[in-house]
Amino acid sequence: MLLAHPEAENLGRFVEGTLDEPERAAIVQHIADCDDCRMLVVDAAEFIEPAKTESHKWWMGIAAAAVLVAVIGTLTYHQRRDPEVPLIETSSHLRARLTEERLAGFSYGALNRMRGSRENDDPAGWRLDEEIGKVLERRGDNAKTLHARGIAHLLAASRATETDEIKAERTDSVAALKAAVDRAPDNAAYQTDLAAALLVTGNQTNRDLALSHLKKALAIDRRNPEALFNQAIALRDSDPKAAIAAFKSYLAVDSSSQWAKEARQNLENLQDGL
Amino acid sequence: MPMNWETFFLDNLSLIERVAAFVCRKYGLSGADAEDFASASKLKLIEDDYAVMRKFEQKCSLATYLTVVIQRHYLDQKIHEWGKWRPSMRARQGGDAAIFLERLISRDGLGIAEASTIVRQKFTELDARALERLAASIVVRQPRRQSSVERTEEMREPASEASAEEELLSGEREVAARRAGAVLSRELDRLPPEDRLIMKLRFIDAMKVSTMARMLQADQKQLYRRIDRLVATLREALLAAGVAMSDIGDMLTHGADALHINFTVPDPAPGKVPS
Repeated sequence: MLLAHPEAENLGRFVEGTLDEPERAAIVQHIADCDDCRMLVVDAAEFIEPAKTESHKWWMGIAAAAVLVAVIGTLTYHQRRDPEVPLIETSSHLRARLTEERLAGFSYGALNRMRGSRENDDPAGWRLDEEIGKVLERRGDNAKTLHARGIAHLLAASRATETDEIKAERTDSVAALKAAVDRAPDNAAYQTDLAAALLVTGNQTNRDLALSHLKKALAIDRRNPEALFNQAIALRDSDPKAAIAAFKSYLAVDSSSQWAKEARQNLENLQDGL
Repeated sequence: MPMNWETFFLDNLSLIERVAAFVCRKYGLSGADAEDFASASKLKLIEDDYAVMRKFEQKCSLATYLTVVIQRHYLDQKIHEWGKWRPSMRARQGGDAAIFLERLISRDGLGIAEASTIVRQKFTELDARALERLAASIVVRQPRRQSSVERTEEMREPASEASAEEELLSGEREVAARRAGAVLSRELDRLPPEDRLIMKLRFIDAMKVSTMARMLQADQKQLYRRIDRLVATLREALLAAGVAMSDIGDMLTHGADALHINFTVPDPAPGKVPS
């Protein structure tokens, strides 16, 4: 026998994949046999993520070209205005990424488990060192510049080989990113990157602080992939069960990228360890 | 949460109108009908001092919430108009004429020829061939209040311009389809709810696996494998029940609609139909 129809908001949360397990299971139980509610769910999913069934329409080529022009235009604009862009661009050519934690806007790179080890034979690394230097020379104390400086210090810490140098760069990174967050607290990317910088220190107190910043980032944008990913990483060592839930939350918003593959590997390791 | 609900409503008016337009498209409403529905939807959100909006706790996006609320409003309206009957997904995709045709056949129990004539009278722009295609495309479910004798009569009803041989083949396909449908419905009922839902979402609603994975909070690749396993299980059950392989292939590759499968909970016996 079917129970009463679920609340509209719970169906909405089901569509968006944000329900906790007992609520999710209850909705599944209901809509497995309630055609009306299943229809609502199917249509809501289509509304928020329109079906891409009509490919090869003539106007799609034009639209794609327009998007491409827009993207190139935006990139050029950002390169002129955003000092972080050269860091992101150069980092994308590295053989391995520099921090396990995700940094906002950075593309995927395989993880380099040897933290602090500079790959001296990687030409992209030399270019990155140059770009880091340029960013650190920039003046200004607006949020964007401070954020870029914080990221530059963080990357510099990951490229450094001397313990003191690593420590100093990490400290500067946290300070600059914290200043950026103070100026723009509603920026989820800044909150996430500050959390990443705190997590990189490996300090327990900083880890808790990082989690609070990630919470703020998710309050601003609850589907923020970097925040969800970093939250899972932050919880991995101290609270495996919470980390499992956090990796699942991440996979609910990104199930197919290389990041997702890494998240899934983490998830399997955690589940095996329980 | 916003304190001024009128402002909140007005700020989101364009979203509300987009959702209402989306629901209209889904159910084939156009022109004055669509305008009436859009107005009724707004009234629904305003009534009782924005009660529906006040209920929104921002646990999901407003767009998703409104899609559920406005579509549910549409379905509630239609319960008064049509009873518990709902157009199939395929009929909805076909628009006004397809829904009307399906309604006449499935809800009112008319034969295809009779229903087609009525549809032609309302939708004069449809020629005979277009109507034939429409009839072939929609799901012809059993009318709710039809007796088994009437069902048999309907199955025997000759299609327009069909030869005796075609009619015979069509009848055989219909019998095979109904048999396969009965077995499939039985096997689906045996599945755990989540598996049953997965099969419905995939084969009735044609939902993308990536979307299903997000909703079910499942890994996409594992979900593909799970669907493959479920299909294999159902295929075995159908084969064991003597359903022809060609019918199964058609059903599992083109969706249940292709075989007129009724995945819904079986209708109550005549006389016990819920209002």
